[in-house]
Amino acid sequence: MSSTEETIVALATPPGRSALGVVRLSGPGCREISRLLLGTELEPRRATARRLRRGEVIVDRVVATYWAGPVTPTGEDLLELAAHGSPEILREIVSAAIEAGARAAAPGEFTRRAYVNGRLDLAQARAVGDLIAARGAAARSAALRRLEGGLSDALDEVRAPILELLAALEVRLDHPEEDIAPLAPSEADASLRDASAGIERLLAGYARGRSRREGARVGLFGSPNAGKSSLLNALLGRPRAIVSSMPGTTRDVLEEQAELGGAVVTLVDTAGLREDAEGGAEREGVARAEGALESCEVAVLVVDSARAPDELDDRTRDYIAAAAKRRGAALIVAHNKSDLPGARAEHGVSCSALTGHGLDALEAAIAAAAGGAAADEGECLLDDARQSAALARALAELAAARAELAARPGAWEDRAADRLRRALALLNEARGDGAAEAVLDEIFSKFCIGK
Amino acid sequence: MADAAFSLYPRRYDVIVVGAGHAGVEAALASSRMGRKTLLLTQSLDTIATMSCNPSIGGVGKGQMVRELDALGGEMAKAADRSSYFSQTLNLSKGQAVRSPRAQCDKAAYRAGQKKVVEAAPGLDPVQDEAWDIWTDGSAVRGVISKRGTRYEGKTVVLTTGTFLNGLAHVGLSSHAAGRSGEPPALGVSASLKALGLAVGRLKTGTPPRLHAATVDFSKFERQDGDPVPKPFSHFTERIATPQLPSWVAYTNARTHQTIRDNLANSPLYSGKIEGVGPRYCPSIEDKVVKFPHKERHQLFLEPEGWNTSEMYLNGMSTSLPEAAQRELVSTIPGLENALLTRYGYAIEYDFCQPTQLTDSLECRAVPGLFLAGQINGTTGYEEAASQGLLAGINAALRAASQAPFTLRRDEAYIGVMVDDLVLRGVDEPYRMFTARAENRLSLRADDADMRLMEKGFALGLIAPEARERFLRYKELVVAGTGDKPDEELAPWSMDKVRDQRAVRESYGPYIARERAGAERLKAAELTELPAALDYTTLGALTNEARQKLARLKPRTLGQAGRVPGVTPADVQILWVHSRRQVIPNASNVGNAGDNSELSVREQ
Repeated sequence: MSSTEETIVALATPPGRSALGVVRLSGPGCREISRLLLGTELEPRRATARRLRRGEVIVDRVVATYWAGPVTPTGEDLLELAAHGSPEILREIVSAAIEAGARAAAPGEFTRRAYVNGRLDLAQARAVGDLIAARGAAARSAALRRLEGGLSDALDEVRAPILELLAALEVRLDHPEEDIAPLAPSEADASLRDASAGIERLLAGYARGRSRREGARVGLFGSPNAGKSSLLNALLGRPRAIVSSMPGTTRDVLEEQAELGGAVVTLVDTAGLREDAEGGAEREGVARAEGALESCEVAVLVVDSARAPDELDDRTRDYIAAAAKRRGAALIVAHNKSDLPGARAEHGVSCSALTGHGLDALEAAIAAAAGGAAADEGECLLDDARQSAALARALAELAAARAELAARPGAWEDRAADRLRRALALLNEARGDGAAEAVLDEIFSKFCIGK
Repeated sequence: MADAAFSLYPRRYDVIVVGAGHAGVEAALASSRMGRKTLLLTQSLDTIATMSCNPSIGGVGKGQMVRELDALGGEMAKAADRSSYFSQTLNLSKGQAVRSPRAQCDKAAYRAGQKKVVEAAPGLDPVQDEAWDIWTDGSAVRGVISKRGTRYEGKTVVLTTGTFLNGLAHVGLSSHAAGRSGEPPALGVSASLKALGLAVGRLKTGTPPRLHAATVDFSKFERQDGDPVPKPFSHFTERIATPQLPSWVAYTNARTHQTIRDNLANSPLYSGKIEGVGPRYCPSIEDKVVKFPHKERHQLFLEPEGWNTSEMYLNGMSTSLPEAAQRELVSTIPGLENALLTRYGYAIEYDFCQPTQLTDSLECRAVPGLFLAGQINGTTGYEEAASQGLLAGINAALRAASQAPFTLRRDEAYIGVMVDDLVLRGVDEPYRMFTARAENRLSLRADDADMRLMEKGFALGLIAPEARERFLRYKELVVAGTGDKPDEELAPWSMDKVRDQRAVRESYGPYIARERAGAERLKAAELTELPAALDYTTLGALTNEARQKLARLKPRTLGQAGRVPGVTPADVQILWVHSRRQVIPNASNVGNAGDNSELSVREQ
């Protein structure tokens, strides 16, 4: 049996105790299931209070609403059961629905059905997916904005000048005998420049968008055995990296997502930066750490505060500070091992991976620095690698169109139109739809064609 | 009305073509040239290949199609060359790929030339009679029944009835049944099609008034001449030897527009009398003035209807206003103050069959052996009609001999683009070709129609085989990029043409390569046949919209399925899984394997 013929059920509200909980069903069985659970046929689009039974037992008094497909969020019949927000009751309702013929929904399955049934475009579907996966308040609001059509709108905005120019070209190519003034190359060039600028802005937002979804990258750096890995584990609250008191055991760059003080971050643990390490593997680890430093928005320099800094410590500190400054990354110095006697902290955060002392302060400092990296929440951002690649290619097509314009002032139109068509197709791909007829519609709405 | 006491026509045919317009003539000629016994039935043998509207052939997109027709062995290009009085290449300054030939033709000479070709064609019987009914045997076609009850028996039937199906002409608020101006409509066939279960819709088109040249003050217009050396349409025409005539450019003005606005109440278009949908790109002057109120003037062309007539075609002034309003309208144009209207403009509504009921060989899915071509499929234009006529004629001939259909892909020809658009998307207004419709515009050029298609024309037997050797020589020289041969061994091709073609291919090299790569990527899907018996209603993983549309359209290939509006890439993946599943029948495994792959495909 194929998936869309099944009716799926899931809890629609966050788990936990609350005043109200909603169980949602989608699929052709909604009507029948509502009859089995509520003992009555529901009138579409009317909220009805009914007792819900599992077998002979009354589970709860619920408010049930039924919508007939396809004009529903999933494009299928939809049933919503609003009950009291007790996890036990809600679990019972889901079980009752399953006994009545529904199947537990897979993660994102409502969304997938909505997309499959044409109720969402790809950009919107992806945004819903991101919403499910997104952690952290900032990421959630960006995903919400895209769901509202923010990304689709932004792509539409970028698409508009291209569509307009292409329509202007196409109308002149297909209707040369019409009384339409020739297109001035300078005018076309200006349109191309505008369109390019729009795409460039979206692409610039891409890097920021990625950092919002994956969280700012926070690198832990320092001399070997300064306790970077222990600090990472302490921050994550569970063991993750290989921790050993032998210097130089962290050979790989380890990454872990975490929510620190409300901000999603990707914590990156690196090998200690030592220049006199023995063995190739260590050297490789050092190279990787240097690479990681290049990609981080926040650098946490971990120092062993129980030990006087030696020449290597100083050099490490200077190197990290210089690299962070060059990249525009924030630098936080974490004075680890504050529990040991003789520990000192000059400037920076004093903390102990072992006892947990000062970790709150360190978290707050990291969150503050990471929050600063992902700014302007209201801006709608592109954060999908495939979309960004499509936009980059579209940008290249526009550049090529400008080149044709410059190279063949007397015969550029057919070639430039080809570039624009491809640019448009790439933007549509990013948006997740196609619109070949859009060009003709644009032509006929703007020009008076035909004799 | 078809009588119970019928008589059977003594000759039996492989192909019966109903209608002798531009589609019918091409269909009948193609069929007879392929060696099939062919009957061409027309209401009037005096109106074969009539140019019922403008006196011109070609233009952007259309000109490319005429070249393609010629490369496949059609007749239109030669007919235009025989009667051309004004020839120009459009888009000279916008890039070689969109250069398009266009010619204005003497209507009488065009018609006479085509009639002569039809009469000279071996195996082709032109007969004047009115088809009334499609004669079927259960579902498959058996022939045609005439109005007076004669049964013409044929293995296949090609219907090319133009605007004649239930035609209703409008001038002002009065309307009368007509096929074209002054000709009776065809009333029986439409009912017959409906009885066969075909959905029939209504479209509208129009034509401008004609003027008497002696009453026109030409000094008020801008004269326009064709190209100094007229370029032939046909690959086989050496040069245009016919006398050339000028055309004239005029403009409407504020008074013209006011006259139109004053008379809108009497316009069948704006009074709601006309129900059919007209083309956006060939609007009436009423439409232009109403929809573009800020445009100060609209361009008009005065084009002679031919060498031996004083009638002029007022291109751009298509109208269905009342006769008095038309006279007033024309007189507002400086130079036409005293012009005599020899014929009035009119709008015509007619029945058409939604072409989504056809296969890509233009055969009705519901009535095997019945082919439709031209305006009956919702298109407009002589060139669009002729191209479909050729394709339908070829396929009727192939079917009559139980041979596989002949189709053209979108990346091969404008004709392929058109048929694909028609059968997969259908029409909601009369369909006209634009270069904007072709994805591979830079490869589908007028200058290389022979390179793209002529081998097919030879293979079908539509082009005399003598030319083949010369063509292959030419093609080889172009492709090789070097070498030369004396022109005598290439004629009608030449080394000049070889050099031109090499230069174009060089200049568009990267673009052509990109288009070819795209076409190659799609080819796999174009060559993946979908099982005819595939029951789309059981493919639950498809979107509802896709399921319904595919069940109705029954696309032949995966590529076609993907172009049906509303079918998503995910649907195509699912279909692909099913087309493969048919190849590897494994009853126990099929269901599960299929569902898993659907899911994994979906999640990508």
